[in-house]
Amino acid sequence: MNPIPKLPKLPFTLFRWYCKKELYEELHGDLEEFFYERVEQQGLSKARFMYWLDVIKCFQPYAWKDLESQNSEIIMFKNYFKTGIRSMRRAALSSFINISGLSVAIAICMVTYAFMEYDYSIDTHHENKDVVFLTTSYVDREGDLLQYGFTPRPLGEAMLNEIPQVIDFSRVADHNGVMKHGDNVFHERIRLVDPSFLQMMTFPLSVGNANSLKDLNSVIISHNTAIKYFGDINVVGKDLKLIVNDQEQKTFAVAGVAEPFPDAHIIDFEFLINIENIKLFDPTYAENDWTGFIDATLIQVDEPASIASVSEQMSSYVQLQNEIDSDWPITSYGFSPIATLHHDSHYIRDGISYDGRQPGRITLPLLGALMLLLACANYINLAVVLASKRLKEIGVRKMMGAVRKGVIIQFLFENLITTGFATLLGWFLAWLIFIPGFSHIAEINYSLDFTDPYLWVVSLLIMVSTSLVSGIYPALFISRFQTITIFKGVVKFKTKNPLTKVLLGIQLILACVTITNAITFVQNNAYQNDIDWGYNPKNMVYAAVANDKDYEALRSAMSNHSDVIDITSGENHVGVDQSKTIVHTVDRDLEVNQLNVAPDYLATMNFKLLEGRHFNPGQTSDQQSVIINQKMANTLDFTNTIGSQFRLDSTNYTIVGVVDDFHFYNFYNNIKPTIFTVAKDIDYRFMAIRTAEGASGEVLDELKAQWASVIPEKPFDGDYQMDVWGDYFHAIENFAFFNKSVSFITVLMVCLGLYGLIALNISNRIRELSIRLVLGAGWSNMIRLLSKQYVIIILVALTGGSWVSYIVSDAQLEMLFYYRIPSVWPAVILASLLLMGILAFVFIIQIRKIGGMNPVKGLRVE
Amino acid sequence: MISKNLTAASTKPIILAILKQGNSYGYLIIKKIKELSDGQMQYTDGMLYPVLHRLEKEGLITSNWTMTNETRPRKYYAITELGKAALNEEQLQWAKVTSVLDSLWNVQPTTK
Repeated sequence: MNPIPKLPKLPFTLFRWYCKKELYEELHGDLEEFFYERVEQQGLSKARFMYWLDVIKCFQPYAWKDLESQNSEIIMFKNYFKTGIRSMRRAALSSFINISGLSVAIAICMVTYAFMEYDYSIDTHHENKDVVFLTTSYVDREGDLLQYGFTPRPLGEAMLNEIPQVIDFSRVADHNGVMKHGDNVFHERIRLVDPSFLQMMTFPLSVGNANSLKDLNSVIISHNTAIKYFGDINVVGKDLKLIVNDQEQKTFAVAGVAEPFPDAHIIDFEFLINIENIKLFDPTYAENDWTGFIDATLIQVDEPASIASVSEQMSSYVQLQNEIDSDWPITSYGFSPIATLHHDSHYIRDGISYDGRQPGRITLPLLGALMLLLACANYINLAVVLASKRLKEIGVRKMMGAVRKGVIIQFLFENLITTGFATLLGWFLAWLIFIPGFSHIAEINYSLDFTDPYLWVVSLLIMVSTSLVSGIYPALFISRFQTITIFKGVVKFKTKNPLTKVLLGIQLILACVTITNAITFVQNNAYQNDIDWGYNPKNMVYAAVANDKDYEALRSAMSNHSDVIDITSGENHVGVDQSKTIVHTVDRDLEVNQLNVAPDYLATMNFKLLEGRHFNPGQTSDQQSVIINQKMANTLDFTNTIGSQFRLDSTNYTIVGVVDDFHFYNFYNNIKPTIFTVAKDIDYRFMAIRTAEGASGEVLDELKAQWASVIPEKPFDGDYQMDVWGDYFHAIENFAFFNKSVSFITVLMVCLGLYGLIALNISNRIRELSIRLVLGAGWSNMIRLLSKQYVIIILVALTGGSWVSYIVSDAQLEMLFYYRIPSVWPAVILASLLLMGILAFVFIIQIRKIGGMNPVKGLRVE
Repeated sequence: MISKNLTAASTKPIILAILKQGNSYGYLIIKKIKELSDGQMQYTDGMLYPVLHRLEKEGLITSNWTMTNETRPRKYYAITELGKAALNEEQLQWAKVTSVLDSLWNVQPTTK
């Protein structure tokens, strides 16, 4: 006999869960009859399937349970919710401290999430992001393996022809030129690529055709460029004239306008033209020259895994490259997918991408965790102290039959309500204040995307985990009291809970760290503002010129100006442009920076001569002389620096002078070994003018006016020498502002926590304090009584905090700046004193309240 | 298969008519309708019971739990006098609808 078939469990449970009690028997009886009938007629599988369908079809409002009246758990949680809201209203100060602290912490977590989401989505809009790779080369420099983004010119084509997994390639070269349309004339960066670039990368066009890049006379422009030049994007067919070095001119027809690039991108373009036009910029360019390099070679492989096989086939190109160009021997080739190129760029020199957000990726998650820790510590401390006020409620609950587990769940649920409110508030804070503020500081455009499901998941995770972390100890602590001891009034609260002390200590350490950080950055900014650049950038202006003729014309025009003290020039200019070269000594090959300048350049720019002499006036005498910086002298380590020789290409140069080290771009990085050589007149591309004290503004205006008169067809390209570092000082000001904001929030949270802690302690001991007051206790007595439990922990925390602050601030400065304040100890000491002052202030506010209190009222409590 | 709308519209007279033939319960009512319509009208518990309970509330039918010698109690429904009157009214209305449709479908198209 066959066993009676069983109903499928899952739909049966579902039916039982949702169906009204009074309908259950009637409805399910029918479902059962249908099920058994179908088992006989159609088989078990079909019957089970149909049973599922029946259960789903019956899931209608008329069959649903009245959840509120039927589900005791829901009633219970509703009750907990009411109790939780009442508790929050009764303990308004604690609730305010908890919710405000948690909401700030959650808002910072949201900022972190949005930042990471932005950072990890950079350049991921390219459909081929996993199969398009930037080819890089590794070069051994004095034992350091350096990765470069440029590669030999013919490499891409050779790989396409010889490596089957490579299915496409595009070279990328960036050059500067002047673009002109009517009265709109600007210096621009022109990106030259192979036509396949727009197939490999995803840059959809608003108008035009991507294939038109095959035409040598076509240009594809960005959305912003179209607006800048034409005020419109429907500009296909319009002309743009490219002027290069004042010699080459070519008119391009706009063949396409790209859609606006996504916010999270780094690789982009303003003007995209066919790379066959490269001879406009470099007439001697030979594309099959293995000694020449191209800014980037992008390759596309058939599938992501193929790149391993491609890497294995690169050894022949390494060998070929090293045989042909022994000046630039490479160790190997590497490949970075577009998907992660942004992050890889941290290690790639001269690449087409860059990574400026590594500090953010480290700092922000740490900050979010730190703020959550602070807020949780506040919550735990306040909840534990508040427990004494809820003893009777707990006693009643337990008497009514609540077990310890129930009380724990009640307090965790109450905590969930608090964190729920805090999460909502945190979202608003993040959305309205923190993210716009951080976007401004970090100069990136990002926001919270409320349609992003991960945002909801992350918020929920933060809410639940925060509520568990902060709530579990108070819940366990509160629930442990026995009913009988509560009502007998013999429950003893330790006024010196060790956990409270530990948490307060941690908070103080964190506050000390953030204050120290803020002070460190402020001090460091002041220090960097005073660092000697190694030359005198004050009272100097400069301009980039197209050629020596323009230089001469401008020089003639400016030389008679009464505020012009001296005028010099160069092919390169400090702070703006330099080149790299390889210096060969007997036993070493060094990569160094080179500035090719006029003989009087160093003297005019006020470089400090440490040894030897400046270049002699005139073009001829010092053509094979070189002046080096101190770093270079130290690196070479010759016995007698002056008079020593090294080789550049095939020419020997003699060192005639050593100048003091100087800062080129910023204080982030170490000074590089640098050489100065004498430029020929025809190579002059920069003009630098030393002005009378305080007259640089007038001279710059005059320079612009003369420029407009002498070379009106070209856009002016110059500035104060003090501004050559661009946004560097603005960026470090932003760093300082960020740290000051973090410090302010941290100190506020700690002070609020301490304020609440003292207030609750006073409230718990109000009768004792009132009796003491009645019996004539004085101020000093009260201060001693209330402060003794905090003084030691504050002193211990500040001592420990000072060490932690020193380590953190020093590490952070070291990570960011090569040139920084010599010691962070002054900042640490100042921070500790400041924190002690703030804590004393908070304490005095509370003590003053007792002074003004009527002891009779205190004795009437309860 | 008869459309859902028409099935829904005819539920009340069909249930009343079936109960006029004798007391019955959900499972049997659904089976009966399926039989009579050659499977063209597909009812489920989800469709039938809301109507049964409404009719009971309106006093057109009554119910009582009956324990037979089988395994489970069943709730049998019976038509009331009010229900019979309502069925007569429904019959008249449906007859009218049918006659209108018949007359429309039997009219020959006129030519100009």
